[in-house]
Amino acid sequence: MASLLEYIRSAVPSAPLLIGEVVAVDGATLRIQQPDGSLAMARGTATVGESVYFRPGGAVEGQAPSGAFVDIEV
Amino acid sequence: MTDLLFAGVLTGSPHLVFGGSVAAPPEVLPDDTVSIGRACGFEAAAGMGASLAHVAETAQAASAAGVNGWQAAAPIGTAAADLSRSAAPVTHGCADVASGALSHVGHAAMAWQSADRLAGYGRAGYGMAAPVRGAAANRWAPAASIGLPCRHAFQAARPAHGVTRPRLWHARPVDAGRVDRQQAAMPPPPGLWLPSPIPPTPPVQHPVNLLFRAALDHTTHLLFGYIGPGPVAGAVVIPTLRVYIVINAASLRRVSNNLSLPVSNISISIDTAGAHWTWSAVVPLSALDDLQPAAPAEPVELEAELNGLTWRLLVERMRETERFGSASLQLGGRGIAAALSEPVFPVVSHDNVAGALTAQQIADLALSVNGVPLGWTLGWQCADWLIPAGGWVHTGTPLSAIVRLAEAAGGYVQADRSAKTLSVLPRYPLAPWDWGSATPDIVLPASAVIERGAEHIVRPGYNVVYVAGPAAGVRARIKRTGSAGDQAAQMVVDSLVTHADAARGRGLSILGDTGPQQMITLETGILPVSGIIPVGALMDWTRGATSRRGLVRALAVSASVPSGAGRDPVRVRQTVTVESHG
Repeated sequence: MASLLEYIRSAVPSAPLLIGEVVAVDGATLRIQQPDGSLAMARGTATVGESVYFRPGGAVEGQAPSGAFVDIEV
Repeated sequence: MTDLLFAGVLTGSPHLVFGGSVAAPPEVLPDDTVSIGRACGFEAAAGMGASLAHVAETAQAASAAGVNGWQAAAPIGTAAADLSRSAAPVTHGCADVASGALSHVGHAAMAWQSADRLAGYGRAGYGMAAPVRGAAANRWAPAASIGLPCRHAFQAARPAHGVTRPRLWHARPVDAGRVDRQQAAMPPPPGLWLPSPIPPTPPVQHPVNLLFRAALDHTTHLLFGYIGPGPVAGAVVIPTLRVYIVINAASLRRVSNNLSLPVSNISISIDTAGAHWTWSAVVPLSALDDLQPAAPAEPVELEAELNGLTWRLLVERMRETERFGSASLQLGGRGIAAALSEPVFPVVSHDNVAGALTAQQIADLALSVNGVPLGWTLGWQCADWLIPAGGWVHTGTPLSAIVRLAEAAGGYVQADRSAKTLSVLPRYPLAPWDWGSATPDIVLPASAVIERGAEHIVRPGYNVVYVAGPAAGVRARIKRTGSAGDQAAQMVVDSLVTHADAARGRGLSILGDTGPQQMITLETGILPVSGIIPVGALMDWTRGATSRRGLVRALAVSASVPSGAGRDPVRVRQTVTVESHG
C-alpha cells in the first residue's frame, strides 16, 4: 500500500517550494532564475535581484536568504 | 562280642532290620575286671540301650513315618556313645540298669540293635573309664544330664553356620569392588596413542579497543566510543545446491491469551516507502469471537511465526465472508509500530523551541510523552545534524515525526518485526556507482530462487541537485563525483536541512535514484542460512559467473497452510525487490 501511495504521489503534478533570484518583473509576474540557471515564472511582488521562495507556476511565498551554495560531491 | 543277627522279618521296606539273640548276654564273672568292665559297659550301654530303646522305638516310629526319622536318630546314638563312656565306671549302678535293659531286650529287635551298637561304643569308652573306676553311681545322672546340653550344643551349632554365611555374603560387595578397581586399572589396549596437540590460540582478527572517550554526563553509564571504520560484516553466502531443504512452519496466535488461531494464509510485507509492516491473513469465521478486543478501542495484538521468525501484528480490520460450504474471516493491519501512528496514537505537537537539538535527540523526544518514554528504542543509522532552536516544529504522531526527520536527511524508517524498535536508515548507504567496491550483505544464487522478475526503468540521469534549508540553514550543491554536474534535478527546499550532512544525505537520495535501473523481484524460501533478507541489505544475485548487485527495497513474506484434509505441505516464501542499476 505504501508503494501504491508513493506511485500516486509521483503521478500527481506538484509545485514544490524552490528558491530563486528574481531576474525580471512584469507587473505581477516575476521571472525567477533558479540556482541551476533554469527560469521559472511566479506571481508576486519582488524586486530584481531579490532571492525569493516561490512555487513554479504559482506564487512567491517570501524572501529567501541569499548566498552562495556549498559544493558537495557524492 | 555280640553277634548281629539279621533276624528281622522282611517288611518290604529298605531298612536293614537287625534282631538280637534270644539268649542273654554272656555272663560275666565278678573277678574278671575286663569282663566286668565290658559287662558294665555293656550293661551301661544296655542301660543306655534301654533308654535308647525308647529312642530307637521313637526312631522306629520315625522310621515308620519315613527314613528321615531314623537318620535323625543317628546323632543321638553318637551322643549316647559319649554317655556310655562316662557310664562305664558305674559298675554296680549299671547292673540295675542292665537288668532294666535286659527286660527290654525282648521288646523289639530295634531296641536290642540300638543297645548292641552302643555296646560297641561302650568298649571304646572302657579305656577312658578305667581310671575312674571308683566313681559314684551319681555321676551317671549328671552325665546323662550333661549329655542333653551336648545335644543342644550340637543342634545349636547349626545356626552358627547360618551366621557365618551372612558374613560371607557381606564380603561379596568387597569382591565386586575389587573387580571394578581391577577394571579401572586395566592396562591400555594395544596400539599407539599420541597426545593431541594443544591448538594454538587464534589471534584476534578484528580487535576492538574500548575507548572511554564519551563526555562525562554525570551518570553511572559506561559510555564507550569507537574510532575508525565501521565493522565489516562478512557476507552471508547461500551455497549453490541441487536441492534446498527447508522445513516450513506457520502459525498465528493471540498474544494476550496465547490462543492459537487456525490461519490458512498470511502475508506480511514492508518497503522503504513506509515504516510499518503491513499484513493480511485468513482465518475461519469461527475465530471471530477470539479476536474481540478485551476493552473497547484496544487493539488486538497477534504474533505470527514463520519458520521460527516472529512478527507482532495489530488487528486493524476484519472482513467476514460466507459462501456455500465455507466461511472465512479476512484480517489485516499493521505491525505493532502502528501504536505510534494514527488512530492508536493521537496527533500531538513536537518542537525544539527550548533549545537546539540534534535530529536524533528530537526523535528520542518524540518517543516520549512529557518525558516518560513510550517503551520504544531508536536505532539511528542515518546522518545526524544539529537543528537550531525553533527549527523543528511538527504536528503529528511520534512515528510521523521520526519519518519527517529521516526524510530530511534522505533516510527512511523501518520498524522491527517483533521488538519495539525503530531503525532510521539512509536510502543509499553507499552511492550506486560505488557499490562495486562494497561487500554485499548476502549472496543469493539463481539456484535458490524460485521465481525471478525484472522491471526495467529508465530515470533521468541527473548528476547535480541543489538543496537549500531555511534562512539559518545551509545551501548546498550536491554533485555526482566525476560528472559534469550539468543535469540538475529539481531543487529541494527543506526547513530541516540546516547542516551540510543533512544536505549531503538528501542530495544522495536524489542522485542515487537516477539513470537506468532494474527492479528485480526474487522469490525464494526462508532458508535457515539466511533467514529473511531485510530491507536495506546490499545483495548479489548470481547466476554462474555473472552477478547483479542491488539494494533490497521491499520484502514480502507469505505462507499458506493447507487444511487438515489436504496433503500439501506448508509453504513459506519471501519475495524481495532489489533496486539494481545499470
